[in-house]
Amino acid sequence: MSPDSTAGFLAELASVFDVDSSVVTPDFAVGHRWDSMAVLATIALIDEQFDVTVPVDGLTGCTTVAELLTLVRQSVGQRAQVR
Amino acid sequence: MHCWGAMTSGQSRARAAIAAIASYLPACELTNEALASEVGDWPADQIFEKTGIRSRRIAAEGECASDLGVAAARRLFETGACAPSDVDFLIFCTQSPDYFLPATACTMQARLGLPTSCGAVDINQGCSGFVYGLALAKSLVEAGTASRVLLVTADTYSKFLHPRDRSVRTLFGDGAAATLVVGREADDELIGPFVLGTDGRGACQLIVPVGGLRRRPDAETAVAREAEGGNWRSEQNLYMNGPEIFTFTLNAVPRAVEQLLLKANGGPQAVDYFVFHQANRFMLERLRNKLKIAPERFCIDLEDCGNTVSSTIPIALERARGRGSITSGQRVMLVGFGVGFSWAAGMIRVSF
Repeated sequence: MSPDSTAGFLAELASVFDVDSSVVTPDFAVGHRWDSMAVLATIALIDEQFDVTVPVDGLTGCTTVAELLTLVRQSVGQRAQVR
Repeated sequence: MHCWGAMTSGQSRARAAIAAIASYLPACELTNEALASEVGDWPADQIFEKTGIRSRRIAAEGECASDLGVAAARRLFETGACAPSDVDFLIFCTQSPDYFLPATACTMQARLGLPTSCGAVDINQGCSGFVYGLALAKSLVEAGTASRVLLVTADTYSKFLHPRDRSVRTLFGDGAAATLVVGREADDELIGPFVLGTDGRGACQLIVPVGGLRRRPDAETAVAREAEGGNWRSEQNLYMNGPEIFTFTLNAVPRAVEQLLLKANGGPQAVDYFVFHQANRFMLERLRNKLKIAPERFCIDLEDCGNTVSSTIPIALERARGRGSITSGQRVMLVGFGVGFSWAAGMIRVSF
């Protein structure tokens, strides 16, 4: 994940959670934001930006954006191994 | 050495072909406005924005999948495509049958006045059911087992839904379609090839857990409890894990499309139109985007009937033909996916 792709991802994530992009930093708390549409929209966003699907349990277990970024990195890594 | 290589193309022989499609939707309508007033915190315009659905048709009390299927078949006979006496095989695809036994198809044979020499079976598949049914009908016709196969898809998922489970009530509608598959002399395949797939590990993600023989219904399983997102359901109701289904779809569908294009010896340009299972607009838009299909070649048609499970594809095909989005001889890719998990992708040429 390049800095560019991460920045783009965070900007899109802000619109998923309907907040200003300036507040979506690695510390931003997401644990209470996983309603059904946010989960679907985040799965779609990660698939679109990184061409990978993340485990649903792992996603809804994320409490911060930093954890979410780690999950994406892990999933991209696992996909690379499979290929 | 004999060469049997030219079996599938370039040689005129009897090919299975779709001769006609007719659909039927029950009369009662469930609009977003009605849903919004029932479930409270989801306004009507928000339901449309998230699902692409404005209203669904709901079967009446006592109106079963067989009734919808019979109505669709009668509409097909009214078009003059064939007479009931010409049908020599009935495939009825449903997940909401009238009885455990007999097969609903047997009761429909009598109601539709099909000959007693007609074969009749039920198949149990959901969103992949129409494409599976086409694969079976093609095999029956091209093997010479039957010459006119009536494939009827019908479901009444509404009867499985808890009134307070808006996650599924917003999506599913009841409906039916009848499709006639016949043999025609042609050089190329008119139905097929197919790519079929199954991953039973996903069985628990879209399920009515109680009501079959593994878990019999009783007072305890009839009790509704609050679940995720303020939705309510009992174990006798349909449960759908939306995120798991969505993740499965994002992985399975593009792979099936890619495999089918390889099998059909053509890139995406060899396909004139794509009709996927009409699950909801959000999922369809994501798939279209991922597969880089132009909007004008990709069907999204569920605004007035919602997700009718096994009937979304034939309903969409009938309508696309009616408004001229597809014309005779064009190549259309069909992809069904969902409950099971089960998926099926197939090519057809427009021959109806």
